[in-house]
Amino acid sequence: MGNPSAVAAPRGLNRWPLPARVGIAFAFWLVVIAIVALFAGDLLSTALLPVIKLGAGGLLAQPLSIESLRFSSVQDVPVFELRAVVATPWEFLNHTIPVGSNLQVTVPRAHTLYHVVVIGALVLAWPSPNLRRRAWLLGLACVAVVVSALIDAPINLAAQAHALFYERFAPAELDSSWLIRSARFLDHGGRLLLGALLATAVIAIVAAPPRRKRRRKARRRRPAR
Amino acid sequence: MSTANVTQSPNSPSGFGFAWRFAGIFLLLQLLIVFQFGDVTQPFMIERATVQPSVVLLDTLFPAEKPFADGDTVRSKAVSLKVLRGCEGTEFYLLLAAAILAFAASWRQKLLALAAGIAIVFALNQLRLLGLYVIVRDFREYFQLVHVYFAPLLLVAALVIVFSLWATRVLSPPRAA
Repeated sequence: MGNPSAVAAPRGLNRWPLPARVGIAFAFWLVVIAIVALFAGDLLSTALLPVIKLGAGGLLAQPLSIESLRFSSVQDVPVFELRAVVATPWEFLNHTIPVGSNLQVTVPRAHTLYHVVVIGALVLAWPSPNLRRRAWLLGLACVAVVVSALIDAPINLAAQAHALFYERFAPAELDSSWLIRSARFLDHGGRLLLGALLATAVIAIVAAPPRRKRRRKARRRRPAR
Repeated sequence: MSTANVTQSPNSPSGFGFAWRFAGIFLLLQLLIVFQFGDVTQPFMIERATVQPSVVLLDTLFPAEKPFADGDTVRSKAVSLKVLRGCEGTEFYLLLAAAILAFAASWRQKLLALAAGIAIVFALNQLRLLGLYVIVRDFREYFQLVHVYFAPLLLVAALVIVFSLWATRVLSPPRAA
């Protein structure tokens, strides 16, 4: 195994480095943040609840309106529990769903914590030349966690809500819903991919400004003709 | 926190091609294996690649409990553990395969890494199932916590270490004879 501190200059397309040091640091932070997030789970979930409600409200079909979104537990698993009600008469695949029909769906709160763990671990493991850059990374990581909360749990909740209607009225067309397909994508590795991509975007954004600054400085130093 | 001590700039924005290639390949693999051919691949992954090998492992470790495979369920005198769709660990194979394929190594290096990677994910997945079996048997109250939260994250941590060690090896200059 090569010495990680003496990684060779990038060859071809290998410019995104994952030397052993970054990988091991990522694994270390992953375990540490997973434990911390577990104990701070209530606090994190409370902070993200309005964001999840906002996302779920935007994804539910128009006649469905959110009655409540709260914490609950199913078989000792902490979950987000969404209750929705049909607010106006709803024509769903040739079936009329009466006003007042209600439903209840849940998603594990751990799914939201995944993003905190993956984004936090990648951002903390990434080499940073100074504290200012590190602070930017952590600040933007918080934004990335909010973005992930706006995507993941709302898609799952809305998909489950829609799946209830499909299963009842048109089980054969279950796969035709993009929401249900998206939820399946998230459950089959998409959740981890989403966290990794958001963290990568954060790192890319923080890495970008100094380059622009350097170019500006270089332009200023150039003598005027 | 780690500090930058590598000769190539890890923060080079031009280098994020790997991340986007990784995402693209993962999406393609998932589209093919989970969505397009899911009816064939998922039962294979659950029954042949997960439940049946784990029964062999459990039978070796706990022969008195007489574990046996019942379709998608591991059954024994003490435990009944059903492997649902999405719980069989296909995503870990896909994530590692996408990372290896996205990395600019030679095809020979990639194929060797894929073969070794599949074996490693298989072994880790069997360890996960073994752990879950023991937890269901002896510490049932912790099952959901480990199954939903810790096991997937620990598997990701292990895979990232495996991949980064391989990537470092690929990037290292060959030693002079």
